[in-house]
Amino acid sequence: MIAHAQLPLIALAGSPNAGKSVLFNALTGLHQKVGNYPGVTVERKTGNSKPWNGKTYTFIDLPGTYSLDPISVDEKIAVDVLTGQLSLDDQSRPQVVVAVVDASNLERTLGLVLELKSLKLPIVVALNMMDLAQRRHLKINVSKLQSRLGLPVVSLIATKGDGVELLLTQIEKTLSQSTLNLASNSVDSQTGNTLERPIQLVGAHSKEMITSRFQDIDNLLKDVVLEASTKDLLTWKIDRIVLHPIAGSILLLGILMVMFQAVFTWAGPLADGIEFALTFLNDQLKVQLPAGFLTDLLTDGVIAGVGSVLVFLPQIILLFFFINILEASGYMTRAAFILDRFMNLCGLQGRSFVPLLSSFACAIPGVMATRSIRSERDRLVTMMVAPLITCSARLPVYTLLISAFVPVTLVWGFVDSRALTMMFLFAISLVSAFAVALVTKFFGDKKHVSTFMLELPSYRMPQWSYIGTAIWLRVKAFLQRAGTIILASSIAIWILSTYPKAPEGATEPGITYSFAGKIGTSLEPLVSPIGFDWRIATSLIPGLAAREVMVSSLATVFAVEASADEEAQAKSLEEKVKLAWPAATGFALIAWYVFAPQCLSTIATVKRETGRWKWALILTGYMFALAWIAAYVTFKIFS
Amino acid sequence: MKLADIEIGSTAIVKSVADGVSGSAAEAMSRRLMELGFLPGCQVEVVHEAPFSKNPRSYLIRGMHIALRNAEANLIEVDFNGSKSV
Repeated sequence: MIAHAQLPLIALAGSPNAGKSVLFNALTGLHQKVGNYPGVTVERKTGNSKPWNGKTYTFIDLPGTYSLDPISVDEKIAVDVLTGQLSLDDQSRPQVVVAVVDASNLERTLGLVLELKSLKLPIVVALNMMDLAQRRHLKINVSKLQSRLGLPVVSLIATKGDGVELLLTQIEKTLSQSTLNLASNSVDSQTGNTLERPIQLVGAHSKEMITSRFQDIDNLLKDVVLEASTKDLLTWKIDRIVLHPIAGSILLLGILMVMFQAVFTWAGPLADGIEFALTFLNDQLKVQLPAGFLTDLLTDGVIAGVGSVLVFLPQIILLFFFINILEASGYMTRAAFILDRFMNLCGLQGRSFVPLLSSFACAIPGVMATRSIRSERDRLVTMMVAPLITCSARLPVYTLLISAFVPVTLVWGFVDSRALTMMFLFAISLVSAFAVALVTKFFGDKKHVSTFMLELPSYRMPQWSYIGTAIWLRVKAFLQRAGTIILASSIAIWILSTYPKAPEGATEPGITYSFAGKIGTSLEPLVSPIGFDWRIATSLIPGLAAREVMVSSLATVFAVEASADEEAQAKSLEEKVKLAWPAATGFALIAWYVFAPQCLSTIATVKRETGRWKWALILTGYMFALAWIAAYVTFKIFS
Repeated sequence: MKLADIEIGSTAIVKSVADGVSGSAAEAMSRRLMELGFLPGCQVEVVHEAPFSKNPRSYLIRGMHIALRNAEANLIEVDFNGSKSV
């Protein structure tokens, strides 16, 4: 029952590291949609291809799997989509499978193709990474491979986009052949519906099956691959340094340091530029527009609020730039290798590294990424600690407070003190995540053993368009948030902090008489032991929607407070904050943000992923407790 | 001899992979190890080890570079094949 309006669904399947995602990107460009599979929260990437010969297809990038005998949730998803157990957008099964194989390692990646043949779906083999094969001096006889497999094979270098058009042409050809077959089959009413029915697989693979599969591959590859060399020399040479016990550890530390130095210092001029443009816009609007409610709402509410968050866009771009380069080059798995021992000590495992690393961007994809962890217990612990990792939404908060309260000096003659503080905060978040994981170790099953198995792929030059797309998708999500949640809360905060107006002959600033002022003052007793004033108390509530909203709310509160005073208004948020609070308050607020679960979406995601409120509530409770204690101690130390 | 006992820089030939109780985590793990190419007769080279602890270590098998903790490498029974002069 294939709807006529729908484009043919083409699935990209293959082993991990075969280059599926890069190929997917080359096929779909910016037209990709990231969502979840129905029923489960494994990331699902779909996208329409650019028209080729007047035809467009919908591609789906399936999670990587070594075989059709899945051992983790995301592998199971790939298998279920291919077998039709999991239907997508009313299409029962993909119409063509593109089996992506790594030309530089056919032995490892062809096994899945042989298994895919049992699914009775039309297959096109994408022989990817031809450039890597060349680097390893492999000569592959493509026509022989094609005839032995009995499947069409297209050579590709997805990172350069080479062969993508040939692949699209082949898909078109395969698709038209299979519709012909289907049409002739449907005359025979017994077989007409084969494509619509889910396929049953053999189940767990026996030792004998696996052995014979490898024998098949060896036979198949005989005189298909010539002049085989076992090692990729370049990768070999790089790994001798990167994985060296001492040099490798120093390198990892160095890379992290450069990353944070860059995020802090390189982003500065760009952030200043945005800030300058926004101030200019704000001033112009105040001069040009008639004074009144709407102008104030637009300037003090919308621009001050949304603008204060937009300023952090360069930092977020830089952070994602580094994370993506480390990932695309193949370095990330090496970092997991170096850090695994440490993770193991805390009762986590190497696979927890990827969710934890994603959490540097945002805890939500991090919590979702725990789906690839097989052990239920390891998965739960990873989920409980992932929200402690410094996410990008904390950056605006940290940047504001560090700039305001940390004196600028050079440490050891070359490290910016602000960058060092930022790095310290990242380190604290990691340490506390590991500490909490360690604590959970005492509660759970003591005999539990976690496992670790990680392929270390060949190094690759990152493909810039791929990284560009990845960053753009993040920026888009950030801007969408700025345009919705942050915009709405900025307006709400402006209204709450403007009304009711101060009575005649009032001595205090107008905002103290407003709703926001009253809410803040009533909350003040709760937070005054940790050094917070009513402004912070007021901003913490909208800050529950998203951490960076605290900054935009503060900006609005300060802007409204200073609206009568032109001199005060000319000051940046950083200067206002610095004047309003002692350093101890600033540092206590930073400490609060290291731990506080100031993000309702993360809590909701944990509830959805675990299926129970229990874990979401434990998470919220322990994080608030830690935040209060940390802020209290920090405040006492600095005051 | 277990794979975890082989010195770094040396090679070994896989003899067998432990079965484990059917349906257990160890069983799934040994199945996966075999699917990755750890099959009787295959040559493995011990390539790198993590700092401080020599755990995990990385192996070269069938042209693939893979990291395993020693707990997993202990599931694999091997014969010493020779040390490589690096």
